[in-house]
Amino acid sequence: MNPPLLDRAAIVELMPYGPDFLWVDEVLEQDGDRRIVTNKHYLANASIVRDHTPAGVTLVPGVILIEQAAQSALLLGLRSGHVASGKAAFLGRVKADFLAPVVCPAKVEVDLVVSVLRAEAIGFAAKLKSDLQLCAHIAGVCVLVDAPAPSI
Amino acid sequence: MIKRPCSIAEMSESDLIAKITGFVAEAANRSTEGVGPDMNVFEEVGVDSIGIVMVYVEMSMDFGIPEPSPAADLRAIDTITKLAAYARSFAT
Repeated sequence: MNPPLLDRAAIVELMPYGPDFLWVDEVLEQDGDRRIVTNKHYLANASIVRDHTPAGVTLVPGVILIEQAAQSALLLGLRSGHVASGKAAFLGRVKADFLAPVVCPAKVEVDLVVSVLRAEAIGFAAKLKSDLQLCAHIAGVCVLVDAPAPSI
Repeated sequence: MIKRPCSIAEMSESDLIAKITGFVAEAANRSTEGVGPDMNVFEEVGVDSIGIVMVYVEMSMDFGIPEPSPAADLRAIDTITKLAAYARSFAT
């Protein structure tokens, strides 16, 4: 297996999120500004996962899978230079089909294609696999805006 | 939701229009009832700037067609009939 193109430490440097809100661990593949493959390892003892289903098996929340896909789109935009630093991305529209539960521990791989690339928005479609099993289809639109100034 | 692209060349015009009408109505958060092929999708149907991007994402997934060139204004293609003609222009 090839080493990742980007590891978590490098992704933390690139992305506008703190480590506790980063849902991408590695970039595995990238084709220009149109496709990226990323992954995330979900551990059963992570609080957001553990507290999602405290009485049963630990399942990754679907909303986190959506965020993983959206962050993958932003990462592609940043790495390809389409998204300049200083821009913020907000998820403006999303459509998701969840096909199988993601039981922790799990490695979720996102294979994302950007089908619309504009100055003000990125439209994407992604297939998510959990340990090689297709678990979700997610499509959406990330809206790019000037990052708000930090509050003081 | 994400399907293998279907061949536009094999679709009837009415099927193509119906498919795109579904995308447009969903992008405007309304039913397809009352949405006509020659209505302005922005001013009359209610698609916003985010919704039209989603329409092209859906057309890319379903028909395997590319978005308009980056220099093109996405509001220039402003009816379902024109969206169908755009999609049809990639039929092989």
